[in-house]
Amino acid sequence: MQSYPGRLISSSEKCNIVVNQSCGECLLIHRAMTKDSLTTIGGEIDPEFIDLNRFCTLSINSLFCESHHIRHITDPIDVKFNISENKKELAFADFESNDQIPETVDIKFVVDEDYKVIGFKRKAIEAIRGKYPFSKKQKKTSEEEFEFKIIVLYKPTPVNAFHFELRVLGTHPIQDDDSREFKMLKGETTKKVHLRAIISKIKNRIIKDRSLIEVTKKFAV
Amino acid sequence: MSNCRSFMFERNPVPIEICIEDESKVSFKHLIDLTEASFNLYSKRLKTTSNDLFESGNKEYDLNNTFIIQEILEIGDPENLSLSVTSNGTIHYTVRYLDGQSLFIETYLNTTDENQTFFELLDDQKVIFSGDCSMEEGLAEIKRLKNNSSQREFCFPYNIRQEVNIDC
Repeated sequence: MQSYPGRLISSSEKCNIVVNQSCGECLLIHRAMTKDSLTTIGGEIDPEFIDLNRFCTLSINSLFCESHHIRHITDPIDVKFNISENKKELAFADFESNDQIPETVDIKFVVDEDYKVIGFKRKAIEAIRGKYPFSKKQKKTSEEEFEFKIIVLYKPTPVNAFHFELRVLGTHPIQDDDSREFKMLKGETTKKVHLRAIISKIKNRIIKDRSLIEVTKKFAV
Repeated sequence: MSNCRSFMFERNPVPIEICIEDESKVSFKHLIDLTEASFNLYSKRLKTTSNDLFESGNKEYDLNNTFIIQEILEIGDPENLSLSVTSNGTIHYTVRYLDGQSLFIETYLNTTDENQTFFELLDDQKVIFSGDCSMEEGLAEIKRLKNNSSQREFCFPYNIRQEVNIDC
């Protein structure tokens, strides 16, 4: 039986290297939730691949670009490993210390080969920002405008040293914080009209710049 | 000339081949054929959510698609057009114009209330128009802006975004 790849297992030393090596040219990859073609009949990125609720805390993996000597330690297959036992401790826990390093032989997993791997350059996704909500023509009074942006957080887990998360931040006031500072938005609880506007604008920019690509083989950057 | 492309679609075990007649000419008929083929292919996703949403998508498409195509052609010379329907209930048009601008029209389908449509007209770096309005209002406003811009009369009485710095 195939054992879990040791290169994916986190250690403090490896995590320090990963966080320092990930650059704007590196790809951030994830599994597509559909097996459809990435582009539509019209030849543009299909917005189906930019999911409304998933995008606010999207799990992604770094695929190092060619400028890094350690590029060989990441691979598109990294996002296809699915932990089948002890998920809470292995796949969902933040890696904080070497005490959490598991034995690879103890890790039960399956490889979801069927999923398409897609991704974007880190600098392309971090460059997306804008204003919301959409202005309403019929309203005579000026609406308050807010700003959104996307950040990439390094969030290693014990079984994935290359794991990052996307976070969408917005400046509209929320229940616990009525300031106009950037706050992390949550897919389920953010005001629907704001979330729709932000995700719609993110989709439009990704499609316009054709920044989402299908990753079919190693070192596709 | 016929142009055929193969598309994988999750609910079909074999690739679907879509053929568009005479892709070299962007005509009204070409865009109608393209959007019809796209809608037929992608609207199936709505059924995975609910039949009501699927019905709502069909109604929206039947009501507005021909009008949208007419307006898209009046707004400018399109280089490319794409239509998709997403499983979370949106109909999304992407239009690239030969002058480098891109138009996005996204309608959120609603089974109990009015649908909501967002428009964005983007240049390379800036937002030219951004609005949440009816299909008629949104497309009329974009047509007016594009016509004004071609006459070099840059006046945007409303919907002006802060990204654009213009004296009227």
